Amino acid sequence: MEVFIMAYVFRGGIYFSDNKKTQNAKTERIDPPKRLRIPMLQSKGKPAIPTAEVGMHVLRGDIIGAPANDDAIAVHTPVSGTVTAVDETILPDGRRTLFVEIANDMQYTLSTAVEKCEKKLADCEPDEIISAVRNSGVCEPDGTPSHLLLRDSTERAEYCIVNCVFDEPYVAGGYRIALENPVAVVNGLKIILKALKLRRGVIAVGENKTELIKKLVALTRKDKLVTVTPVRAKYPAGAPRELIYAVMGRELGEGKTPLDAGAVIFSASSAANIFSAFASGVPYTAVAVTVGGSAVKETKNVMVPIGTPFSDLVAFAGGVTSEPVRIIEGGPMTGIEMENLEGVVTKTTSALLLFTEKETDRYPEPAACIRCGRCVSVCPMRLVPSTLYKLSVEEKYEKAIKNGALLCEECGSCAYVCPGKVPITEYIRRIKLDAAESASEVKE
Amino acid sequence: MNVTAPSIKRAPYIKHPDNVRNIMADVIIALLPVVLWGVYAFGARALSIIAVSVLASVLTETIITFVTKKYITVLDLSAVVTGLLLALALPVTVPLYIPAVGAVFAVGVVKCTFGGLGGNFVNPALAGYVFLKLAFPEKLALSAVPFTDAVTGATPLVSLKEGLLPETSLYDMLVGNSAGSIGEISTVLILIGGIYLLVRGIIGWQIPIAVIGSVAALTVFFSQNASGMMFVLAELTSGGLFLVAFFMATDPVTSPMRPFGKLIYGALIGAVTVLLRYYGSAPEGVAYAVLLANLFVGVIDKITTPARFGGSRRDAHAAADVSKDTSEETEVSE
Repeated sequence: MEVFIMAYVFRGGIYFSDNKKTQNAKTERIDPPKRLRIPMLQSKGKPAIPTAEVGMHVLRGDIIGAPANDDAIAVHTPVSGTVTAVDETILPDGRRTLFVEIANDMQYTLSTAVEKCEKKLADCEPDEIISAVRNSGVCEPDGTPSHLLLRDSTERAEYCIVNCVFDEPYVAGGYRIALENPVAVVNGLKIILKALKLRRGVIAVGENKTELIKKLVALTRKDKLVTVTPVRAKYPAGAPRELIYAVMGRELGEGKTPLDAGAVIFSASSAANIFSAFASGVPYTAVAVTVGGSAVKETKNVMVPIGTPFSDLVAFAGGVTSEPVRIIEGGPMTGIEMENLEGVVTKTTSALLLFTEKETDRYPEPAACIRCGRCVSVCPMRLVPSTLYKLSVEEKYEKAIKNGALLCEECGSCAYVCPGKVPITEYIRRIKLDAAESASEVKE
Repeated sequence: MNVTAPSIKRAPYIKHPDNVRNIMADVIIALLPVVLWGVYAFGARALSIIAVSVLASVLTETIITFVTKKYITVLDLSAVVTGLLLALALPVTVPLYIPAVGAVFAVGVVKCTFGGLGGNFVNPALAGYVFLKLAFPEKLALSAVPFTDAVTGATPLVSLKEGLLPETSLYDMLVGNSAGSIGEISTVLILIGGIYLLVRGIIGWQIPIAVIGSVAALTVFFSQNASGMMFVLAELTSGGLFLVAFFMATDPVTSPMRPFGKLIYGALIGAVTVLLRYYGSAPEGVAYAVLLANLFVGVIDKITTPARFGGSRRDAHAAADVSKDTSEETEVSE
């Protein structure tokens, strides 16, 4: 159905200029490294329980970490080989978890446990689809297991939105997946619609991604289930609240989830992963990652097996041109800073950025708010970030919450535009952390 | 105000290239034509007044931040802008200690005692000017006539106050050939600087337009004079109205944050200016008008708080904290 719904445009946000170099870099495949360290905690919820033991031989697609409960997902191995270690590690975000180390035998023998779904989609029951998604270990970029999202939104969601906005600068792995394999995204959406028994799915695309829009429209022209909606390409148009507003014109207030608006959002790459899990039965073991930043020789979009060390990824991109002052996992607006390249790629890795002094800000000068109001004008939630920052400095957390601090999505726009270089987002994050801590204290 | 980055997740890692120093540098660039014309019209003495004022501002800030062991913020150029604006508001006839005293008061008392950049609740340059006006009224009473050594107490504003069209032609007031302070005489050059700031995105159009528009509208209402339009234009081009509207009322620290608030604030300045020009004891009122409006900024910001995403206006208003310190709220209620 080639109907363009007029998308609503939220107030605020930032227009980043598109980095053509990153977006035009075709997805390349990295040769799996000799040793992979696969963490058991790669999604929200409980970590997987390692089933592999040292010395055991595993085949590609075998489960090496069993899900701890119905909400959790399994971890599979992307290569065949021998388990050489099961030990503890610390993830970039500070969480402790076990990992399984596998020595790659370079054979890539596919496990016999991997089975294609022989049935046609029309004959599948929603439960079958959901359990197939679960068995393949697919999760969203924010770490929510996809099967959990499907299960929770059954009967509750009226609208399914696939997020093809790709609004964060530097990050283009997901965009390349959608561009190079739009069929998988559309079919993934159809599988999701079938699982949720829905008749309406929307693919929201950033309107500057004209090539992708053309491809998706061509694919869905005769389709009655799927609509392609271009949305204004400003950051953070891909965040849940902005996306639901853009597509449905409905503002989700504080404490509301997409399901309160009857919507469920899947990322483009997880739609594609759901399709491949369904079509080939191969579990989710490789992620699209952008390696970029000025300190990297060549900006690349790479399909990387989970458990690949970051250092291998940097080597694949031609190594570093200069000593990076910042190493970031994820996008430049929302990612996590790491001290070194000792980490590994997990299911939620979207980018690995190595920044030089020039392109990142190390807070060289003390921050001062000059009340210019730029943060106010960019805040997509229409908060007053400068006030929240001042309240956070004074540790007046309750007052800050009354001023809407919990509505903050931590998109980072306020701190980005601030000419006084105030780390506003960090201070708002403190308010939210304090609120979360006191909430968990009450629970206990 | 100085903070160290907390040790939790630090995103975003990229920043917009604009910083305080760039903004202040743009303001200085925008003021250059005005400064050059002032020196050209009034001679080297204008230059020495500007130099003394800027130097005194910079020294005061350096010494105070050094003594109080705060980070030396003078490199952000905001003290230079304060000194420059103060000098431009003064007539060229003042003795050299006048700009020095004014600058020390502006930076030392108005700015630094309230926590330095961003902490002050009234505009330092204007507060310095008003302080001098109150402390040394006779020194600031006379203005020089450009390109002559003549001194006059009869600026165009004085005749306007009496309801008469000034003797100076409109053309002279536009290009800057009328009696007045160093930086306020050339309306055209101020406008050029103002447009530069607008184009660079340093200021919004709301405040200058609201100030000038409301002065124009109220003058039409007040002027009993038959020459109507000419009278309005004379009112707009005389005194420091344009300089204040583009360079002082737009000071981000002491003006509202939202576009609608800026309109209210600008209209308030314009209205008070006209009232003071007609009913006040002095012919010039725009400086006092801005200082008064500065005190209402907190309230304006509060009433212009929009509804949050998915929330009601009422919630936003109930919680809206006057984002400046509570001291401002008491100022307003007095």
